[in-house]
Amino acid sequence: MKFSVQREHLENELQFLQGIAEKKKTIPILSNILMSADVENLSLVATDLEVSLTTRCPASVEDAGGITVSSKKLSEVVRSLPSGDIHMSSDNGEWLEVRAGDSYFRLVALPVTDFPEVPSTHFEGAVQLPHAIFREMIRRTLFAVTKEDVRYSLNGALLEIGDGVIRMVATDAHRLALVEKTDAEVGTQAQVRAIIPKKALAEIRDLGEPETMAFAQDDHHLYFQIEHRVLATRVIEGQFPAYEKVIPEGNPASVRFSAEAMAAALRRVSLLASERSRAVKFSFATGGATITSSNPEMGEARESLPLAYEGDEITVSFNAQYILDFLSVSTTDEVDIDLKDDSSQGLMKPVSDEDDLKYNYVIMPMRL
Amino acid sequence: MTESVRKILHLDLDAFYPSVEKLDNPEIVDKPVIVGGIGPRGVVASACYLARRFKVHSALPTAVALRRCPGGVYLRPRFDRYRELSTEIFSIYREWTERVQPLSMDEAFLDVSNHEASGEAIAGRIRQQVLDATGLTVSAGVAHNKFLAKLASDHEKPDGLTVIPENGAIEWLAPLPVRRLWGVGPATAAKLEEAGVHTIGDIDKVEDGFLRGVVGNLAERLKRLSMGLDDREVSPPGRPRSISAETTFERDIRSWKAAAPHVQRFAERVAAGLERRDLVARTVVLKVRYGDFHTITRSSTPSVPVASRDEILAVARELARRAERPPTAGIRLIGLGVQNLLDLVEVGEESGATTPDQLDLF
Repeated sequence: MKFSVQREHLENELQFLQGIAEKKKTIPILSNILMSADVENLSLVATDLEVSLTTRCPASVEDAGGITVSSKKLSEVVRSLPSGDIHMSSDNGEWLEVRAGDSYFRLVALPVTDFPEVPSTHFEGAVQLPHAIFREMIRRTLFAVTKEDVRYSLNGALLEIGDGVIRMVATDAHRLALVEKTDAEVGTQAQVRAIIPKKALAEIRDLGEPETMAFAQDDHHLYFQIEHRVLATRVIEGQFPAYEKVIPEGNPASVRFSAEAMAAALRRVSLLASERSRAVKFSFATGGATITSSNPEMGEARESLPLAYEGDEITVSFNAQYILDFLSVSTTDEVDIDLKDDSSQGLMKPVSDEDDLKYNYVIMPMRL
Repeated sequence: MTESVRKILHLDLDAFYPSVEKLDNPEIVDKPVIVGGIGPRGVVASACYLARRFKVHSALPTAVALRRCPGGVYLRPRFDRYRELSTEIFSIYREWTERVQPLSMDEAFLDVSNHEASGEAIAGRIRQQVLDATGLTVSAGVAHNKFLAKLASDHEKPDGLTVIPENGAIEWLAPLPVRRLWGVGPATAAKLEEAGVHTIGDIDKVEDGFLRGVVGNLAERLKRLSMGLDDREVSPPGRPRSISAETTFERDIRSWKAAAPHVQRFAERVAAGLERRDLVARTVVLKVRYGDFHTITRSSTPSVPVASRDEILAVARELARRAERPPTAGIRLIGLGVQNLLDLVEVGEESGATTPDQLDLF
């Protein structure tokens, strides 16, 4: 195997592959990337067995062939080199030799035959999905995916596509983010209901900014083609909770507030909330809200927020972080929260649905 | 180990915070004293016995307390001062035994089995020593296990000393309401009441199967407690860092099904270890050694700490899914353990302050 590539081209792709290759050394080959040179291309693959990325960059190939080397080491080497051509070669697959200018590296390789087979598909006649909308949907849901939970099915976001609707739902059982695009041009072929791992979502968001991406699926995998890169992800098996049932309807009290003012107040008041629970208490009454926190070891905080609210007084506690998470991704200046009482779910949403995206955020109160 | 009757004391300082305040300020000795958050949103941390006559108790909003007891003296807690006295009192306890398990600033279990003297005599001496050294009264419960000792100390509060004799435990327990049992909260109590089980004696009378139908897995423990049985040890703070169990198979096993009975047994053992020491665990760890000695561990830290066999098993099952190779690759050893252990009281009552409870969506 012998080929040359331009540093910029290779570095760009390695950056994405680095996100997929395993950082832990439990299975050494998974920390490696597979490189195969043929004709005018260098093809590159990384996988952690759940999520895989296949990409390529232009190369002048003298001898075709393949090799696997540490993704991390190769990235570091390539990044350290000056701009220009990099020459790579291997005689027997045991070493990868890298030459650029006066520099020379020899990297330990592992056999190509040890590299796991990565699921693949063809995208002929595949559905085209709007990538910008996907990016935005991921931005508004990813933070609500559970950090680590016993409930396996919560370790990703639910993607539903069908009848002109694209929907993404994420929850950690305390709060839930749902974003929906109606009248999407997705054709009738795409019918999806699958839980996508967190890592795959972050990759789909970052792999480029094309207008559309091709989408395909088989029994256990979903495939996304973003520019010349193909991301394959295993779907998370398991039952996603019945999210429809927890979205409250007809909560009697609706409060509208400025996202910025609320976020600022919350950041201040939550300074004295218990570090573990981050609980703050809201008292909504005609004319405004009082937000308080207290922590027996630290003290108390209080702030008043004038609001155009008219109705019965409602007192309810929430995890301040959950509200801040929503405010940081919501795109409108004003936000509504619909409430019922101190132990029923609150519904937050932007005042107008920008980009035709319907965005609902449900949060459960904390009981003091 | 020879079966000898243990001597366990539960020592509980009477209305600790208000009592310290009265100690430091004799002018308020005869007044109802309430310590807690002052201000419209504060809650009562502790009320003296005079104040309790006005139905003022801990966790009550101070605003409500003010209405019930307008003549009371309301004070902010001075934790440093309480800690200082608590340290002094605990050092008296430690003169008697190393086996002191503090539950909070004002509560502790002592295992005084090593002494010749009776538990009652020792409790009496300690009460006098605390009074002499600090002027504070402490209520004591004496029994042969923690569960009974704790019930006993509550029996004649304040300034009481109650002994539950080993052969009189069942009679002593029988008339008490079920919610006095360790592990019976309001929800379980309601279920039991509905099923006609009102007193601890009632539990003893009903069939095992019936009880299981009402409270599920809790049945066995309730039954044991209702008979006054409790083998948890008095465990001094140097709590273990982890509890685990593992086994090497004679021949490699090749399915999770074959591993299941072992894992269940480990979960039981680990849960028992936690219960004995009044601990809960934040992290569950599964260890798998394959036929070629390649060993992996997988751990998970669920949002809520685990304690029971079933909770630990549920996490273990998820961890098994994350094992590197399928079990058909041949498993030589399997182990299950818990880490990041916390005291039950640390999780539950956090020094009387109210910890908010995050409600679940589903």
